[in-house]
Amino acid sequence: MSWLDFFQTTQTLKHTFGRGINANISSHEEELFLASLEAFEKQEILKAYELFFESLINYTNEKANDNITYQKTDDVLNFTIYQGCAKVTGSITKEHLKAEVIIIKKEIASVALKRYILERNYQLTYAYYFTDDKFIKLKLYQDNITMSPQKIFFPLREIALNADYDKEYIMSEFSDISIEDISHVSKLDTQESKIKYDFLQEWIEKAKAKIILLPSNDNASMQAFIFLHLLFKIDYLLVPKYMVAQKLSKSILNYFAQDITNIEFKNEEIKEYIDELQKISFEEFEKNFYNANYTFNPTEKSSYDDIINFINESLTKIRWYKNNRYNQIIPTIYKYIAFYTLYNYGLNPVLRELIHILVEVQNPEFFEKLEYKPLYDINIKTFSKKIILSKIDTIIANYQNRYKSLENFTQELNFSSLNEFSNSFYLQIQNLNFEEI
Amino acid sequence: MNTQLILDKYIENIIQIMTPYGTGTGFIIGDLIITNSHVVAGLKEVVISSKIIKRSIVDVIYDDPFYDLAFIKYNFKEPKTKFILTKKIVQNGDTTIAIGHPYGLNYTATEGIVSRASRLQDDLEYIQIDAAINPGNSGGPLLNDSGEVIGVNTFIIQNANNLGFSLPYFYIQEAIDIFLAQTSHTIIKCPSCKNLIDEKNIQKDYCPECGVKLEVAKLRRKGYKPTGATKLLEEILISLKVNVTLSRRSQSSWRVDEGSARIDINYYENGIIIGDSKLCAIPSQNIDKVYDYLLAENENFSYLQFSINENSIYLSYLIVDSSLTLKEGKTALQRLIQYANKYDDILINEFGAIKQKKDEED
Repeated sequence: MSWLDFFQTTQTLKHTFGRGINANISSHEEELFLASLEAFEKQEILKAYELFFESLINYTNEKANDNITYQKTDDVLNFTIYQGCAKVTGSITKEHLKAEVIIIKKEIASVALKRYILERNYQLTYAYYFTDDKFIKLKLYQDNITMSPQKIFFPLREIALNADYDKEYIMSEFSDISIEDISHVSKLDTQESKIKYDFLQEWIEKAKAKIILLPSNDNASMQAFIFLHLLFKIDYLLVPKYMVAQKLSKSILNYFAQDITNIEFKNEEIKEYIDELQKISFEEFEKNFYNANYTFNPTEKSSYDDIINFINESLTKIRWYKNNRYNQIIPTIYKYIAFYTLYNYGLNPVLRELIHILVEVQNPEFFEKLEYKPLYDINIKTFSKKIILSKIDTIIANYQNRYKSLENFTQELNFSSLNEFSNSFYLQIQNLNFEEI
Repeated sequence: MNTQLILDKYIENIIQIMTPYGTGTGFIIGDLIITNSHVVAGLKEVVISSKIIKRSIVDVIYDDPFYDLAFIKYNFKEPKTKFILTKKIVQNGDTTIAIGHPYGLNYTATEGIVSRASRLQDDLEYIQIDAAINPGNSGGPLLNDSGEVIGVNTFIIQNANNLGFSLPYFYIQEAIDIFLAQTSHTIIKCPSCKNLIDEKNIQKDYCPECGVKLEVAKLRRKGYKPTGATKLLEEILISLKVNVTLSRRSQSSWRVDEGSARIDINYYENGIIIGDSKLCAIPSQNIDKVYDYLLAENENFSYLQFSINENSIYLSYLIVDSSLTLKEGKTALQRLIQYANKYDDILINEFGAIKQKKDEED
């Protein structure tokens, strides 16, 4: 705990932001994983799985999230892994691991859906779809003869991530078919949904207004920054699920696809989707949100160098716009960098937490509405400097045991304007030292 | 004679040669299969097939790395019309036809012309041609417009368009004549002193005449030895009474035919082993029932699964190399081989699924 906390009690996180587990991994994750490995080597299979599952339990505000639960007897370990709307249930004996996820009722599956899941079987490595008397399920079967925590991680991650993805995909693509076994997800509080809905409408309005004010010629790239920033922001801050999430990620994917379409065409496609999103009623919007636990991150860990390169390239673009007197787009790009990074990269937890602070600073109205202390006052253009410094200080201090050379950079931050703050923040997070000792 | 007529007339002379390291081409002259030394890759045994020969294991009886030539004993049915080596002098501008199996595309004939009849390269003369020859053409014949063999397609210049080089007919004739004059029929030609060495006289891989280390002798002595998961996979196949030499497509792929089904086993660089059988194509009617059947059958499988890719039904077994064991791997692959044939028949006979067309035996 830093001395700066004297001025401000650390706020607990009340909401989840962005994709992924949105929680802290166990502080003993590495020890548990290694103990599991040792138990597997001694052929103490059930104990090994127990330790492995313990290593995967994540925490929010220092409380376990129950993202994995299990019951062990002498011969069997029964477990449940939660991943969004997927609930992976399974049993482990000394010989085998069996797991499955209930997807939908068999009788309501259309021919298109059956084709989809049979094609998914070809794409998946470990898990596959089948039907029993009642349901379509995704299943996993592994033998434990040569098992280790490294080996079982990928099959379990595959079944969990893909079941979650496919259930959401089915909801989006086959809207007349309802998915099963989702009693573990909880509906978002209506008030919170309303806040999100209002912000969605406001952000779309503002994005459109901003586009009108752009120079009439040669503005395609600037439009793209505005549209993509909007989509990334919706994804990270509102965290939609089901149809909104699916269509949003498809829009982003289409934009970055290497194809023959030009940027103007891609902008037009995003605009069409945004228009569609703007027309969504609150009742419809509300159906696209839920709270759930997550065990696996969907993105692989990215290299720190890749992230730095992206930030540097983006800052170069900002300099170009600045030199060419297109100042109106610069604040958007500063925000875009943070959201793009959070959306696309599997971030180290330190980096993720730090970039989240920047997002809080850049989007104070949203966080204030969710009852967080705002870190920047738009009206008087003033920062809550002490809180910002305290938060950064706490994050760095929390990880210094693991990364001994991780240094606080708060002295280097520039609080003269929001743009300067963002710029100095990006420059500083490029100098973090993640060497593990 | 046009190219197609030549190909049709002599196609039975064209041999596909397969080793764990790759594929190449050979052709019949007399009772020998002529190919390149680099195609047989220093192995004593290779697998061949042709229009008139099923996949068979054959012996490499002559290996000459200097000329890049190798001979394989041909003990099979004779082609209807046999190739002959030309006696005519090759001229610049002559029309040529290269025949081979480039990139596994069987029996591809490529027309070209002689760019230079005698191009000196490392003390040997080559016929430089402009035909677009590619990997897999190596060891194949270069023909004149009468269908006579004028050379062995031996190498190309990498990253250059249409620069191919063939070892001329007179070197081939000389090598055949000297070889046939030998009493022994396991001969290695020393690339240094050029003497023909009886393999049984080679000790510790040294040429008994000039003392140079014979790389080919070393490779032949060691043979092909798979390691790690590849070795284990081959042990599993052997335990299932599969002839691994015949089934091997490369160092990391195998093919097993069982009834109407074909099973391909591939070991990928990311450590995943996939054994799968592309069964029949989905029928045009009652497709929903086929899907229901496949999904219901998936419930009962422990190691296998049905899937669909493009229009075909697959039965597959997937495992990570580090998890593969003899016991489980044997059970899984045995089921895959048996069930692939069984389900192919069920799907075709009971659901009207469409039998897959298969390309030439390769």
